[in-house]
Amino acid sequence: MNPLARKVFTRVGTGLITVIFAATIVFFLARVTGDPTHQILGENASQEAIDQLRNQLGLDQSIFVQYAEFLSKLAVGDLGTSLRYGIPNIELILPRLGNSFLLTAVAVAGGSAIGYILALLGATKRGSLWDKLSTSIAGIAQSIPPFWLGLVLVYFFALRLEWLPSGGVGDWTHVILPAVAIGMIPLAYVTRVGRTSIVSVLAEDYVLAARSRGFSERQVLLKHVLRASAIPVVTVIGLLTGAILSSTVTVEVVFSWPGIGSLANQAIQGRDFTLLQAMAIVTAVVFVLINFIVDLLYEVLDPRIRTR
Amino acid sequence: MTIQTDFRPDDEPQVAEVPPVDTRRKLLLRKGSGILGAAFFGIAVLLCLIAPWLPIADPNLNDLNEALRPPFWLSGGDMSHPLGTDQLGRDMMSRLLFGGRLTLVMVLAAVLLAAVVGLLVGIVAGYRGGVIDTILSRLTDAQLALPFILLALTIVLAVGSTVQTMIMVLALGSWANFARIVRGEAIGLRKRTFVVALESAHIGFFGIVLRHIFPNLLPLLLVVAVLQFGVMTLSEAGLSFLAMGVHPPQLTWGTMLAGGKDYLDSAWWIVVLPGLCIVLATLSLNMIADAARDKFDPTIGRGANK
Repeated sequence: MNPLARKVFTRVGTGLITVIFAATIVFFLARVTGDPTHQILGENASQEAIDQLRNQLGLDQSIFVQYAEFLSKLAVGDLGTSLRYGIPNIELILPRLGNSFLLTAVAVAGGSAIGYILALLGATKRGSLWDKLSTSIAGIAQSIPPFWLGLVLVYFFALRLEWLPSGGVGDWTHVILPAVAIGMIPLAYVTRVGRTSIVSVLAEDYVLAARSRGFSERQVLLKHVLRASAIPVVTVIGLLTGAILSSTVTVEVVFSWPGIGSLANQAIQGRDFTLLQAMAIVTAVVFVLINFIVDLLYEVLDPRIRTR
Repeated sequence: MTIQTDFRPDDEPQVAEVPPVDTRRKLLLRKGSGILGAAFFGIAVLLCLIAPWLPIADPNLNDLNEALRPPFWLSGGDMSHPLGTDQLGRDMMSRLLFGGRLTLVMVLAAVLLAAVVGLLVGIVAGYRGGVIDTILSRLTDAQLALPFILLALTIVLAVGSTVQTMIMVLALGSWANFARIVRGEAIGLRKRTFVVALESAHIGFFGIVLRHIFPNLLPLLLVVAVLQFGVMTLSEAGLSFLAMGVHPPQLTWGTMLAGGKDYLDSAWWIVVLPGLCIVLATLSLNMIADAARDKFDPTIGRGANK
């Protein structure tokens, strides 16, 4: 087998194991946290109603039978049935994923681009006012709850200035405010990690060599530094996927954006815990997929670690 | 959830680093911001802790005649409610202090719980290695792949949101971060000469771990704990915003925020003030963590030492 194929193969393998483990965590947490029937039906439910729901959820079987059934269903992409809507969870989640993906992609692209520019400013002018400014912006961006930033943005730009819509979907103006709120996380971490990475690349011999061959500073930055410093930045974005998805959930609720966040909110209102579990598993799959792509990106970005 | 800015692969040999000339000035600067952060956080904690003995209104005292009063610097506000009142006429300043009290206590408990679990998993995985390491590492990865808020919602929805549940849920969302970093450090320590020497002197696993590995991990553990404190403060707010926070009369900054979101247009302060408290608390914690990181371990600095 050629090395690249082998690498992809092992990566897919570990990814699958991660997903199975994640699903297992979700499954056992749901069982450890006790019998959800009382939470779903309320305190005054009749015994027949409780028994019926327990039977419907399969809670009357032994935990190992339940777990085996859960895994075998997972293998064919069956994530259970929504308690509230009575249709397969996956059919509720998939149409929403596209909307969330759009919003998150805009946020991550914008946030990382601005973060990278800030990092470049900080790293090339170390110790200057620019450096302090970019570090401070990163520090503050890292400390803001994204949904709260969303509310503050709504207050200023939608309610007071009336420049942008306060929520919902429509033309591109609807994307701006939620994307800014979510984009703060990639911005903060890309600035911090990017600065470290660029500083260490600037100290490499090949940068010195490029400079001594008479390349202008701009050429050195664009041709050598940008690409070589991108690996930790791409890595951090991959690792941030979980945090970004978490913030997407709350920000979507602020802006009534019809993605997985709003679906999670509906699930909370409807006490639809099977739907929430399915969503947790789906997002874990998304996390694994994105980190898989990040891994493959290494090959493109850095010829030194290219599999031979 | 936080991401450490350290991307050395576990097995990469440690390269001796030569500090650049301007390190001293940088360190002083960083130290200054660390002291500022510590001072600010200290005062905030103190105020929240002594809140029950301060001459302020009951945080849950409704007075609809006084509802939606603005802070004193806006027209219509006065010093009887310095930071205004919320939709039920409850004093905002008092609520911010009492809310901060529960937020900080809850998050502190969660950080301690997560640190203990993460430390155990990380040390066992990193120091023992082998099959145990593989299993524990996969488990850690799996935990990190699950977005905090969705996992937390499934639990809180099933068991209800008491303070104890919130602590467990926050710790559940955080232990893997401790475990991953502790594991990396433990692997590095395992190969160090003093550990090899102790092993060849037939010092047992627990002896080495307790008396030699753990003290070496402590500084790093503290830095991660401070960072996670900030992250969990944000997580708690997010969970509360989705109506899955603690129930009244208990209150946190997050539940205050959630309660005020429908009054954004008429009374921005109900939403903005608790949010600002969260931002300032998290920011000062991050400043402390950055300063501590430089002091304890220059090799995981953010570039000033690279």
